[in-house]
Amino acid sequence: MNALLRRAAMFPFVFLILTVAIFLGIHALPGDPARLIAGPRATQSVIHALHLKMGLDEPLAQQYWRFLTDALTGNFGISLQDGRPVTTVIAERLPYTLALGGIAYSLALIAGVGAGILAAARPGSIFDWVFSAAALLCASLASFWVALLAMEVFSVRLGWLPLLGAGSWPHYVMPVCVLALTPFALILRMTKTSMSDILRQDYISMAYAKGLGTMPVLLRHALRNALVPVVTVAAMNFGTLIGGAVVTETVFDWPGVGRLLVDSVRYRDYPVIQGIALLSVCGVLGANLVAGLIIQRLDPRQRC
Amino acid sequence: MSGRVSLVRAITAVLLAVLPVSTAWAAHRLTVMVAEPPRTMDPADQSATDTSSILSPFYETLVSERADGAIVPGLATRWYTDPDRRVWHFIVRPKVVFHDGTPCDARAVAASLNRILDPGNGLVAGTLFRAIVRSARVEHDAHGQQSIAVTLTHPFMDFLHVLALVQYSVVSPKAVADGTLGRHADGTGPFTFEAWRAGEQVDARRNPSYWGERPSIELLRWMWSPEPSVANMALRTGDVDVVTPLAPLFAREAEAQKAGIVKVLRRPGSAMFWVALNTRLAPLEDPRVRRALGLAIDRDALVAGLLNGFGVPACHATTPGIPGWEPCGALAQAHRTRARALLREAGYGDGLTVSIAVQEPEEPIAEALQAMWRKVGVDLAIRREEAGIWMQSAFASPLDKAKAGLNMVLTSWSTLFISDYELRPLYSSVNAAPNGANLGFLTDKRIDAAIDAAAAAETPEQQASLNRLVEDKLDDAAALLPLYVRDTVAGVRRNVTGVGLLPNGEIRVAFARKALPATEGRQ
Repeated sequence: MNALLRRAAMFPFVFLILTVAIFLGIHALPGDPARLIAGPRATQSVIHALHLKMGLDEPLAQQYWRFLTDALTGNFGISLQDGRPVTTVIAERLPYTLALGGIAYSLALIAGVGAGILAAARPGSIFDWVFSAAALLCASLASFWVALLAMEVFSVRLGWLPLLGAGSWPHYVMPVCVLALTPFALILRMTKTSMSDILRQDYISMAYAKGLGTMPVLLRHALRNALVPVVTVAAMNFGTLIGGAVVTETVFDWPGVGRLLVDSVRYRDYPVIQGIALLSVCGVLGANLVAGLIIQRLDPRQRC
Repeated sequence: MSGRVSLVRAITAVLLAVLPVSTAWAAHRLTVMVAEPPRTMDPADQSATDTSSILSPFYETLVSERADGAIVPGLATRWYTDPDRRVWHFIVRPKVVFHDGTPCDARAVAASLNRILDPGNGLVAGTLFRAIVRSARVEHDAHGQQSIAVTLTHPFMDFLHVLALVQYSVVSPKAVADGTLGRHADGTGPFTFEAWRAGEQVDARRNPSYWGERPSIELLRWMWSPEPSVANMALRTGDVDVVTPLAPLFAREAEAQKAGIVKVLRRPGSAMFWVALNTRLAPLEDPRVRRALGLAIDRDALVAGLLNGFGVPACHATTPGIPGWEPCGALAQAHRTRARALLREAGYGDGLTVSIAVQEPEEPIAEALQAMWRKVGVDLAIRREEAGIWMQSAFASPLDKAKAGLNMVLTSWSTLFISDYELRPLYSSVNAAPNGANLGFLTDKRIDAAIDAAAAAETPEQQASLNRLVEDKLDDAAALLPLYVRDTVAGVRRNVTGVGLLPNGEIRVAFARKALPATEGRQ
């Protein structure tokens, strides 16, 4: 049986286990959503009334069963904070996060792979030195700090870029760059390491001996094999996109899912947190499936 | 060539035509940034400061409150009370309509108030309202004019101040029936609801059929950011015209630049920061220990160091603006010798350890207290907690707090000119946690009786002396450690005027004015 199909067949079980983990994890969070919504002035009777209204008085198992059966039909419940269906609340925000994350991840992939190839092809050169230092810097810097610094320089002092919001393409520049920093560093280092290993292989020496130029050897022979671990790591790190979006969207006032998650955790809006967590899980599972397909294209041996 | 010249001329002409329009438009658009997103568009289903600010241009109350606390007509043109002060009568302003076109008459006002009173609706504003108000009904006076009669559970001097709160705004009965109020504001205010883009902004447009003074601003936009430095940057770039609250550090910077683009608005606030002491758990069950902790606090240093001077030290239960409030005087400084003597007397001459739960933004206050108390031999263990976890710790029962070994909770509280709301929820026996916000479990019948007496005061002078009596009893019991009262501070672009601040941190911008900045005017 094809390895990819075997993996796909496991997804329902993985999904089920994750729903239990998500549900229990979220409900184990200390803090009462009714108290958070009603505020400190509310008495115990108001809190109790809110528990009834939100269905929080039901046994946990009953709440989980309702959550699971509803989730399978695409219904994630009603937001405790917002009063609207969770799917509507998330659907409003998702395009912003997809656009931001998609552009940032694409940028990180293109720049990371490109820089990784250059660094590996010229070991010890200025490219190698500069890109390795850049990777180290990008991986070490706190994105929150970089975001504030970028805003101060490019918006406040120079006035080149808009500070907040998601109204037009210039609004994307700073959040995209900040969000791309960490995956860029990771992909760069992975590409460089993998490419360096491949370039030491006999078949690469053979290709040079046959009289092929550097670019055809790098792009046609080395890159294809070097990309296998890069694609794997990139797919596995897809989930970090939501984590990165939480910080980036909060600082840049970006109306995406990351910011929604922050607000939902703050008010213990269980249905919305569950919806976003499930969405994130589906995203990672989907990205792994796509990565499997790409890897099979790159390396046919992976098909069995 | 001539074709290209014509194209350039055409573009120039269009730009010249559009630029004055766009700059004029900028003068009619005001953007305000607050710290939190709105929780709802239903004024009665929330008690949050920023949500109340955002909702205030959409709604109106029977009576309004000026920034100085004076009560002025709102949807009621006049009012009077029966001799026993239990029934209040309000003459409703004629010919007022809701934004949805339905009339705002006495029937609609009564329906709005009764909706809050109905416990079945589970509205957040209902708890405190039901404690004061029994019912609201339509009545006809001798001239056949419709009015509203509001019956109270007991005489309550600050009733008009309560009625002026945004939570008790009059809402459209049609919007209530349609179930749209949570997402779509529908009142009688000077601005109509335009859009609520979740995670982005709330837009309001000038109400063309408003009964009162016409606002100068055409479009009002609300944005929010929890990060004070981002709000400050947005103010400096002009992305927003008003920021509230402006962090003390940035307020001090803006004040230092006299000719800067930002001016600072400040007024004495009512946001009191204080430490609730667990009176049921050793060592704080001993009033001498509680008193010693209070004496070891240098409140002047807290105000100077943490607020950059934007506040006043607090030593008693009430805040400036409330009848009976008294400044700290000598109590604002630390009295360590007396504190050490009290601790020795209580049997803690060798020192003691206590714990405090704080939310992350308030951790610097706890760290300052830690340093001050260390000087008298008290070791403070700080438990930094996320908002939801903190809420659970703070409102835990005496048993749960004992299990967790929690001695104190660092908290804050603010109200609007209503002294009973500053005292009863925090210190009356019936509100001892988890039932209410009496987080230190103070149960003292003498204090309960004093709070009741102060609430029934008939004149401000009487209220002041009765409030002082409550404070004296609270001071005797050493039931709380007030720290400071933070000023309400906003940052405003210099070309904006008419912004109003309320002591509890709410902001009023419906009648703000915005002039074109000099640079824009030259374009």
